[in-house]
Amino acid sequence: MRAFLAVACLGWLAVNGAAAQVGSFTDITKAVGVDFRHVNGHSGRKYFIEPLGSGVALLDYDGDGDLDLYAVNGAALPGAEYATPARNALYRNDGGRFVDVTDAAGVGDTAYGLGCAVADYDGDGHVDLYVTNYGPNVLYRNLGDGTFEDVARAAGVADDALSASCAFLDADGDGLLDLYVVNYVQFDPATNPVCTHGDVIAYCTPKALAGASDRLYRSRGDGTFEDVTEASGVYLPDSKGLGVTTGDLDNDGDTDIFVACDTTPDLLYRNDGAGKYEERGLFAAVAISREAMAYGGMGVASADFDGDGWLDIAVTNFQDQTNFMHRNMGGVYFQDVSFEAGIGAASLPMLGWGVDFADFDNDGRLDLFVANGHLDDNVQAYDPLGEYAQPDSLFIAQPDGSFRAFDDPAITTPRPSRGAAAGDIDEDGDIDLVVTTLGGPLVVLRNDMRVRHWLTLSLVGKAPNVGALGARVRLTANGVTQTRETHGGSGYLSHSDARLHFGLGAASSVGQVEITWPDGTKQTLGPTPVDRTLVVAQP
Amino acid sequence: MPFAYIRVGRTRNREKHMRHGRTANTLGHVALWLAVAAAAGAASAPDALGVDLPRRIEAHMATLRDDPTRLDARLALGRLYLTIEAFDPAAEQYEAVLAAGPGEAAAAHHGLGLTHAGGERFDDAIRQYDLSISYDADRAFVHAARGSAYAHLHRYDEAIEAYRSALSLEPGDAMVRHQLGLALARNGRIDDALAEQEAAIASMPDLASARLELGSLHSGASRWEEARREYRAALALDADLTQALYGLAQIAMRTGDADGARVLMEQFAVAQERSEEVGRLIGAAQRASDRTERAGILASLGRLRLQQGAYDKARQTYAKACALDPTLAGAHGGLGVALTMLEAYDDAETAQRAALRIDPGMARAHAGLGLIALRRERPDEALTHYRRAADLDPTLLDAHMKVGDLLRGERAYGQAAEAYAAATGADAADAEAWHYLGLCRALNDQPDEALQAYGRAIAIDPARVETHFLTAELRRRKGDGELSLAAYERALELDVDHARAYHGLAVLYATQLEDVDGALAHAEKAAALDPASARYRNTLALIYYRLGRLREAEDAIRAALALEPDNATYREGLERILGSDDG
Repeated sequence: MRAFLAVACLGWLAVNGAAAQVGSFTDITKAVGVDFRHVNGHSGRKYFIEPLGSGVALLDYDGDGDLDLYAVNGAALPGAEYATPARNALYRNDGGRFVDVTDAAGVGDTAYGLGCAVADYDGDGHVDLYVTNYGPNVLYRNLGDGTFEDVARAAGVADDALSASCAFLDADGDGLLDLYVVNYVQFDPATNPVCTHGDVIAYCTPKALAGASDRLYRSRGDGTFEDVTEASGVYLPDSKGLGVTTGDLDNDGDTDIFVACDTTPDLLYRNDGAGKYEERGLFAAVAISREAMAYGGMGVASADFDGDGWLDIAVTNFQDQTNFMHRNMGGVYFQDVSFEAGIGAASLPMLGWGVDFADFDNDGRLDLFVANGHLDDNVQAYDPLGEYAQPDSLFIAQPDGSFRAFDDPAITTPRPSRGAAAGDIDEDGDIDLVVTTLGGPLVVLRNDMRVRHWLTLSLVGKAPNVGALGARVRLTANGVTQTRETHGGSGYLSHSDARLHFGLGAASSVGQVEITWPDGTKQTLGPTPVDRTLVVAQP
Repeated sequence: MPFAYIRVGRTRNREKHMRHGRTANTLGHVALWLAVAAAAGAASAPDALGVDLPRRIEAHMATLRDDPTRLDARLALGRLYLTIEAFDPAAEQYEAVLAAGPGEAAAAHHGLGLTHAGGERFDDAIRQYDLSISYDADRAFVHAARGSAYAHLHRYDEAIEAYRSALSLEPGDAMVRHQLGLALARNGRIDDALAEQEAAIASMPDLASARLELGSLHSGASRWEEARREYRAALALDADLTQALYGLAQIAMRTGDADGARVLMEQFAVAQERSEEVGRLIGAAQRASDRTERAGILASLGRLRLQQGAYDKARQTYAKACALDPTLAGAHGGLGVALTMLEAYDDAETAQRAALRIDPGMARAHAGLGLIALRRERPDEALTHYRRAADLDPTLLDAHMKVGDLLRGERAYGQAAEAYAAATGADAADAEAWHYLGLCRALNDQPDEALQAYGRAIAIDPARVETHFLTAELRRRKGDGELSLAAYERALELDVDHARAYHGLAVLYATQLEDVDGALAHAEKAAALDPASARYRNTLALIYYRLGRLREAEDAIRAALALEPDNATYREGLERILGSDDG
């Protein structure tokens, strides 16, 4: 077995005008040339979809090894007008500076965009982009020459519901990448519900609107997809989903699906191995809260945060509702340990959206980032405790299994945050963050905490699943084993870097890397040098 | 559709959804800490919610009209306003107390703190509690309320400290200990939380919310038996704690009882649906802009509580409604019913008469007085009230039914039938009214009219076993053997253990269908199902006798006599059997 080694740029990418602070994050948005600004169509009419915000993806669209950035934008709604139509934007990472290549790449969709996911769905070696909209969704096929073409209609995935998060996955284990699209509610501006608190107009709850079933599209392998929503068992017309994560939650070798829903029970779809799903949320104790309420679920992420080899789940929820930290108790049951973990109390004052696990301080333990912000910019008019702009939360994992809030000005600057993506943008070995804000600028936060060793694995699977979605890696260093799984979409409307990053603490070498590829074959790498990105191709 | 039977969440718009949890707790905060203060002898308790609340408010207001310097009356009035969650007028009283000087400053700042908490202004509430403590640091309930305000702000470290201050002054306060436990759990200090909840329960075993929390804590530690015990205890103490059902379902799943889990999950779904409606009304009441509107919504909530059998909660809710709007006759009437169900008949009568003073033509109040009389076992008085209610409101089904029931009890079947007929006029879709109309017609020797009424009852509700049975009996007596047989069989389809139907069939087989063997089989079945029935034994004896099985006939009739030794008919039967045997 031979692994391909590629050493990434280990050097510090100097960023003009941005002074690094050791042990903290730095807002480098302007310094790196990102000028993206979100619009939500706001006109004062409080259209239901306005507060949803949009997502962001970190992807290497040009295959040069560094992370580029794709930001989804909203659009004008009735009553709002913009001189120039808002559009999505693609920024190419050119050695630390981001260059807007939207026009050249042809990915500036001007529909009312929400979410995105990234994967090489056609197995041609170039990552593609799926964008969810209020209105028909878009599938940008990467042509490999720096440009994309929208093939959604031809591919049969131009879902015209109000779609939110989405994820690529191999649902039926045939090696072809399928697509899961979370649909939220049935929305029509002409019948937008008006909700008030006293004299104050506020955004309505999803209870004011009918739900909408998610969709599962099965790849036929010829570039087109078949809608298998009902046949696969994921048809639930009353659900009101926003976030999705995929992964082998019960360690049986296939990809399960978890959907965070807003005021309806969260959904846990267990895969039978052939792409048939059974919803088990209530019985697995992940559908509703401890006090038996369906919370306002927004984003969701899965990762093995307690290091026991089972993927756990974090869900962001509405203000005054704790975020969930569902600890996996063996694949069949989960236990919400949010308070025990130190996340619960801190999350209560916040309205959480974007969420992702990553080892931000490279100590070998997965930390948790949550993007926060309220719905209503006039929240104070009816809620004395409400804050529109809220600090984001970075919870650093402690040796005792708990988490501690990381008090860093760049993180805790109040913002109406929404989507978030994590990845090593500057290739210095620690995980940076990109956060979208509602009706405001996209924020790039550089992590300057790299004080420990690390290793990033870039897996190259066998075609057609060249991104190796669903591959699982067990890495052992200094006697500690960490587990990661590749994914094709997670969090809230967003897509973090799909490469697998491991913080290693003081370990200056890795003892063993065990890879279980999506087709079940295993590969073991022996002692491996650290502080680099390792590209591993499936033998 | 795995969630087809699960309906969770709230039917509210976003801001209602967002605010509800906190607001509900806010009101809980005020009621809770009033209760704690009351326990310390410093305030009136929510339990004081009763029929005299409007009168007490008016009395204090009268006192203040005579002498505005009476701070004791202002404090008492403020507390009463807090009790009914009328925060603005409460604040006016407390501010007036403070304006008069520092003499009652500790109490006034505490009261003001509660009014701020009621308005979700917890920072302001804490400031007032701090001021109260600055005047008098030894009032545990103020420290506790301060802790609760911090908890509402999710500032659990400060909440824990404040609760501990309260407990240092009142170590035996179970409620404060329970709240401390909740704060500790939210801070992730599970073992400490568990210890506090156990201590709370040790001193107040019926503290349902502590039982629930303890169940959750045990469940989190996979101590299934302990968790199950606490969840069950919580449910037994307060059926509104539906999350205990969910917790029990989870335990069933975790311990391998999938069927049990499914049953519990279904129960949970039903209970959740019920609590949703309660939550919707609570939310509406909290958002109501004026007292009259709020009183009306609370009256609706009280009615729902009555329907749910939550009489004490109904009493509290109606009492608040009455205090918020003393002219709301329906609330007084509802309060009367709740008090009746709680067997507080004197207060119940006071409430109903208050309703009638407001609205002398209020039929439901007369019906309420009828119910009180019934409970007091005064049927004549009850009949008078119910008749008056029915006269005032001919659409009041319950009044007609009660009149019918009372007259039927007096064997006045003709008059009873008239009352039930009036009931069917009030609601032609009420199967029970038709059933009893049929019964009274039958007892009044009007079989055809009776069958007609039974038929209407069955058309409305085909699953009425008793109506099928009575139809069968009546048809048997009329000699309609086949129709009787069909009706008995329908009754038995609906209830396979209906002993009287088997017995009726036995008689039918023996007397009209000329099938003695069939009669015997049914008689044996009836006797087996109800061994204590002497009548069934007698029928069995008769059938054995007709079959010439005299030994068995003798055994059966002796069994009947053992059950009813003085029954001359059975004795005569025994003699006849013995006589035949001799012959």
